[in-house]
Amino acid sequence: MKTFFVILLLWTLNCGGHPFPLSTTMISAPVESPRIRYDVAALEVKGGQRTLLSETTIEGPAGTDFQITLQSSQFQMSAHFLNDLAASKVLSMRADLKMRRLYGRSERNLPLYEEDGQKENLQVGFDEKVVLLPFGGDERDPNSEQLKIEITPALSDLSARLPSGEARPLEIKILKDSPGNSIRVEAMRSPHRFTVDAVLLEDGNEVARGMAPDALLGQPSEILLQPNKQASDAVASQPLAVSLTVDQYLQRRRSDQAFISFDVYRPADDRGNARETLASQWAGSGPIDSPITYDISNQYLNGSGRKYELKLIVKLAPGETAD
Amino acid sequence: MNCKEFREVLDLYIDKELSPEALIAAQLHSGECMACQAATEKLLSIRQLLKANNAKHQLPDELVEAVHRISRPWWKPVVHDPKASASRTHPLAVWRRQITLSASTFALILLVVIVFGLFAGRLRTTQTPVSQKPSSVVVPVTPEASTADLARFDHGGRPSVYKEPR
Repeated sequence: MKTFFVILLLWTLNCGGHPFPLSTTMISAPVESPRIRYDVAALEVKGGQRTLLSETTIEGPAGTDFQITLQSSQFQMSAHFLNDLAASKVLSMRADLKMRRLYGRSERNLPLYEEDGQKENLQVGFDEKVVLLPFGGDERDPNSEQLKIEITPALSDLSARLPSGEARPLEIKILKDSPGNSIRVEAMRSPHRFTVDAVLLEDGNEVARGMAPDALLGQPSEILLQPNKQASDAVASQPLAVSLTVDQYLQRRRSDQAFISFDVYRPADDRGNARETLASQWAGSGPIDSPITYDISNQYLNGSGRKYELKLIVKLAPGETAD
Repeated sequence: MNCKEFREVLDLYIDKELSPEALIAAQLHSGECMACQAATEKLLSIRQLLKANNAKHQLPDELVEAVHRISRPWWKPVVHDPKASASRTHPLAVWRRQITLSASTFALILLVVIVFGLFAGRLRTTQTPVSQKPSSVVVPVTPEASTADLARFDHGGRPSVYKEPR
């Protein structure tokens, strides 16, 4: 009877959400990625003299992104930085710059704008800083006043978890506001690394499969679909490949959504056949972990009388979290 | 002064508008003549009665509502308020009433007006100075500088990003 009560007590503790004390010792603590701090300072530089206009500090887990937007009366610029810890002491910062400047007015008195977009990949050490010149440099007059935004990364001293055990959220501190709130800094955290499965179906049967184990957000990944034993000779002799980019990841209520774009092509082979693009700039979106299926019968082995489908499944890479 | 002369100046006597000599003569006659004293008291009581009745005169509510219905603006509903009708003994318009302000209230209002004027002037100076004149050719816009605007840094360059040692 006493043994029964002991078993009942232990069972109650386990079901009530309290971790069983003996079992927790068997689980090793997960290795937490370090946190990064970014100091974003906007400076007015004139003749070697530097004046601080605004200053913001971002502190968050590795993979924290941020965006700097600048608004003047006739000029808009946004710089979106996708950041990853590439090595222990190297940050991969992918900058996406977009600019829009009022140029003038048309003969119908409509506003005319000049626009520009550019992307830069930077490998930044913790002994370096990133310099953003929203208005560019003035080559004609190097001594003219210039707006300079310096982004200085550093490893944070803060622990990855709060004393309560919860993951520490990212923090933004505005140390000095910009004049007229014309420079804004926003930070966000979203998954960067994905696993993408690509499956070729012939009349509903899987005949080839490939995978991109670590596809980075916004970066194209090449996936070669390897024919299996069920593949016909035509499929085996003409393997497919996909160049796929996960463009965006959106957190939604029911399930998170992945936005993808891709090209389907036949790679060059040893027989002298050059690479042949079968489908270009296809795109779509779908729930994460769920297949997105495309009918490629008109693009691949057309005339064979068979139905070919390309099934793409986007998942979070191991170790990646959506929060 | 006899009774006939007294009755002729009785109104002036009650109103105290007689000359000093005539007033003395009237007072002497009134002190001797009981009939003229009674006539004086009767006239005074009539006057008091008239005053009291005049004070109680008020416009009927139906008349007030009818006048309001004719003269009110179309967006204001007709509301009959007994309290309001009771307070209509002094129907002086708001803009005709004398408004008194303390010195501190007046100074506060003056300060608010000055600050608002400065703020409005600043808004006007920071608005986009884009030319509104239509023209037959493309009109480039020259950025204008202001203290809060970052346009003073804009020399038409292209944004750039690079890394450098700390």
